[in-house]
Amino acid sequence: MELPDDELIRRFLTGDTDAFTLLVERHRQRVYNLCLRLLGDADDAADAAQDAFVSVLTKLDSFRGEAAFTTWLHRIAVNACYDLTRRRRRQPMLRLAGDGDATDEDTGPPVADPADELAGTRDVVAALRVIPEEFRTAVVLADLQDLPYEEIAKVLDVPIGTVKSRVHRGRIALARAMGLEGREHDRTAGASQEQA
Amino acid sequence: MTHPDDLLAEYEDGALADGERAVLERHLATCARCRDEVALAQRARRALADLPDAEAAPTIGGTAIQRASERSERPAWYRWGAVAAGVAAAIVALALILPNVGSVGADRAQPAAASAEAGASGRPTTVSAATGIEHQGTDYDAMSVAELARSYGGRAYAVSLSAGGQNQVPAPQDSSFGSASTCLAQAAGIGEGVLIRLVDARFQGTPAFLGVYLTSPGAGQPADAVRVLVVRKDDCSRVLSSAWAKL
Repeated sequence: MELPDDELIRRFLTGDTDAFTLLVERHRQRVYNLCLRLLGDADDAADAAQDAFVSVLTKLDSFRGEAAFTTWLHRIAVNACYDLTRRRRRQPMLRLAGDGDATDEDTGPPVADPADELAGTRDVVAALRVIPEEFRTAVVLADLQDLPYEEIAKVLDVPIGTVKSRVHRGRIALARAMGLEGREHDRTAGASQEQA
Repeated sequence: MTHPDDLLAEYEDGALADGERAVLERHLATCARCRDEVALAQRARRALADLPDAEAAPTIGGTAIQRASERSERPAWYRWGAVAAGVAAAIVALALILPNVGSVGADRAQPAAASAEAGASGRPTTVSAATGIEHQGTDYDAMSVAELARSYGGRAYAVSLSAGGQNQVPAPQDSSFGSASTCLAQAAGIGEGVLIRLVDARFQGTPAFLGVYLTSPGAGQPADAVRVLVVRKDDCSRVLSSAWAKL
């Protein structure tokens, strides 16, 4: 029978290194996918996921089981992605210098202005990159990671009403970025429309 | 018109309770804006549902695993313990004595002391869940905490919930026991096992509680390890938790 996360943590804290390895292996795919969809770049996602697990290791002593481990892990992973995005923003020239053939598509954080995008159908991966970060995070946690809204509220430390609003508005922003809007209503779904 | 944005996400999920759904559907019947938004959001939701997972490279998490492995290499005080294992006979002898070493309020203590007869006969030593607190003047450090944990080694234990064999947890015998055990429980986080001894002492000069826990690999199975958890008395934060010994 598979040991629960809490038991693996307990065993690791009592000296069983294999328990930590199992914990990483169990959550690797989930953390990587979260980072991939938040960052939109496979290399960045791998870096952020790597950072997230190091952060888990260093903070595990202080994990007190008050929140579910998955909630705690998602919070750490989301923060690792935000940290990486901030680092990229601070070091755009270094990144460009290392990627001579880089294009706008694969450098830096996702562009956050839907108005810059051409109208038309775009796939969901590309569309995720162009919606505002707070919408992207909410939609990814709800619709890709399948976290309940209550858990997302804990991960992001915002009221649950804010989560529901961001998910709804994020979906609309995503659909519009994908060019799915075939109706007469031509509003842009920006962060300013959010209603907590 | 006021739009019920707080209900729309769950409506799109098909997860709205009947009462709220009825309210929302009445609104949708008269609000083109919300109808359009729900339709759009549901299309995005379906597109996301169809998005396959990308395969994570097996190297992800490798840095953390490597560091965990390095961290598990025993610190100095534990390596000292390994050396001490070379004089195992002496340690075993100490194990029968040390649970009470340093105990000032010994008459109030509920130690997991084993009788020499029980240890020698191979029968499990019966211990009770702690119901009292020992007040000691001892100033522990990592080494002496490890020594305390090790003093419980070499024997099998059976835990009795109460000394009289009744199927109930006895009432605390010391008014400070409740707050001390709560303090430990907060720091323990995940189930540490059964608290069999609670000591009020100091750790490197700081007032601290020491909890001795017996842990078993599963319900109903005999304890296979002992841990000593050290927390600060002032804020119940964990100071040391890695002292342990396989039984």
